[in-house]
Amino acid sequence: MSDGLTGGGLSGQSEVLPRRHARGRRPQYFDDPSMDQMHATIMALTQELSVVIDRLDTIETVMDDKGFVSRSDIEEFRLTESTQMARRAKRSAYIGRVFRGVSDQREVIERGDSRRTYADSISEDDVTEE
Amino acid sequence: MPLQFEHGVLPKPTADEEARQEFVFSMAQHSMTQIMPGIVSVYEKQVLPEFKENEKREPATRHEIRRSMQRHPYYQLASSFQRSTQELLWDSVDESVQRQLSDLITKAEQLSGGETLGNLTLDPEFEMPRYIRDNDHHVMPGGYAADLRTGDITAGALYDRGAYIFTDGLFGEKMDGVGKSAAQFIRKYYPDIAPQKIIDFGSGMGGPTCALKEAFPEAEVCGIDVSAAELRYSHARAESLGVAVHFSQQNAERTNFEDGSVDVVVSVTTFHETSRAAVENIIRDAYRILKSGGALVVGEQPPFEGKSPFEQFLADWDTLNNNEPFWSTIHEMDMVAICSKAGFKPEGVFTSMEQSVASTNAVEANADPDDIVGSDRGGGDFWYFSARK
Repeated sequence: MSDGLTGGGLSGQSEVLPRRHARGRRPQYFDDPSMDQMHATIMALTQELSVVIDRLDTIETVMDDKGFVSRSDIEEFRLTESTQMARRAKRSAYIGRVFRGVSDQREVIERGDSRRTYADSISEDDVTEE
Repeated sequence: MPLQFEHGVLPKPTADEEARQEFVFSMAQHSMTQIMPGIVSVYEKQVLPEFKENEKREPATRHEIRRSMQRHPYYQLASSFQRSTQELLWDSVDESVQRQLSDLITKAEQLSGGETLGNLTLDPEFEMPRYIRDNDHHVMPGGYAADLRTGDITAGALYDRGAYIFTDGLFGEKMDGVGKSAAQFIRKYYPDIAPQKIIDFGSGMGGPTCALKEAFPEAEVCGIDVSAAELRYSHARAESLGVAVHFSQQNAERTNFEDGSVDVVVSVTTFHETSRAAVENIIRDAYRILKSGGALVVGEQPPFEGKSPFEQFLADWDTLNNNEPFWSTIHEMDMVAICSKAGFKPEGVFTSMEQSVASTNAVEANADPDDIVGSDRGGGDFWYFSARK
């Protein structure tokens, strides 16, 4: 394949184009800069798995319809608004599962949980405080 | 969201490119509605009480709040999500544009060649203003200034597709919502002006400029921009849509239009990409080229004035994280005073919040901008300042 349009799968992309980056110093968010790299990498991996999930959904849809699937079927598959909405709902749940640690942390902050509230949950009213 | 209208130069993604772009939409949605809202709790429940405990007072400025928030692990993580998502956005569009760049350039040249509805005038001697030349705004690779090869249209294609994904189509399938909004503004506040000539300062990829022509078909509509790649793209795009707009490469600080020759100067979401001195120059040049009774109409981000330091801190995220160096400053500028200084009569200068086409669409799309923290994704109300000569 060398038309550059097949794009996906393991054999599709014939030409690897150099990535272009915006100029300017990237902000450092975490105390340890390697964490910034790690987080960006996790985001990119999450994106790549999402691509695979979408591609698998296309394969299954075409298979249901035709009983077999070719690479060109996948490229010719057009996203409709209803397919898009269905995939977005599924993807939203997927992202929520991958980053559930972040939403847990948000809940902890919002409830004001602490070691004290944890210990208090089993304490008697007359237990003296530390 | 409605799928983007396939005009003649819209980059078309492969299946995997489209999946990457769709992921960016979903990730941005998750970040804005699930992760970023947590920073409000971080502030109210942890950072603010600690600040008050240590300093025995409330934080006085957004800068003080930012310095405290930047130390909080949740804020660090939330900001990293926002920044990485923005980078993935441009990555996912740029890989698609670069793959088909030769085809897109050929299509643009065909659409802009021969007999056309509008003209395209580039200036080979053009001197790029420093604020565009030296910065890649909103982390878009190459910014507006990059001219990658002969006939390049990359900046226009990147912005058209990238902004469509980022705003989830809130500006309409033809990316012309802000232009429609500006046209409504003109009709609402200047019903007595029947414009014969309208200039769009900073016409970018040209969607809003086309909306102005469609709203005022009798008028001659010109779009000016500093970016050759944007201008080639916007001209080909307008031609493919059958809209007659004249595009030319000019610096809005000193245009070549004659004194007193223009009915309305429009500029939408452009000023924040310039500089303090440039804003004053642009308004002065608008005054010069406007006819007596003509109007300047500028749509921008609402100023910080009247917002609490914490609200200002939230709205200021782009300054340090999204390559928008002028963002903070422009939100504090007094546009009424600048217009008056440029010659406009003070009584003819006013500011106004208008419900944008995008915010109407946002509500319909069940994504109320009020639920979103950190960026309104272009879906919020639109702030204007306007002046009549």
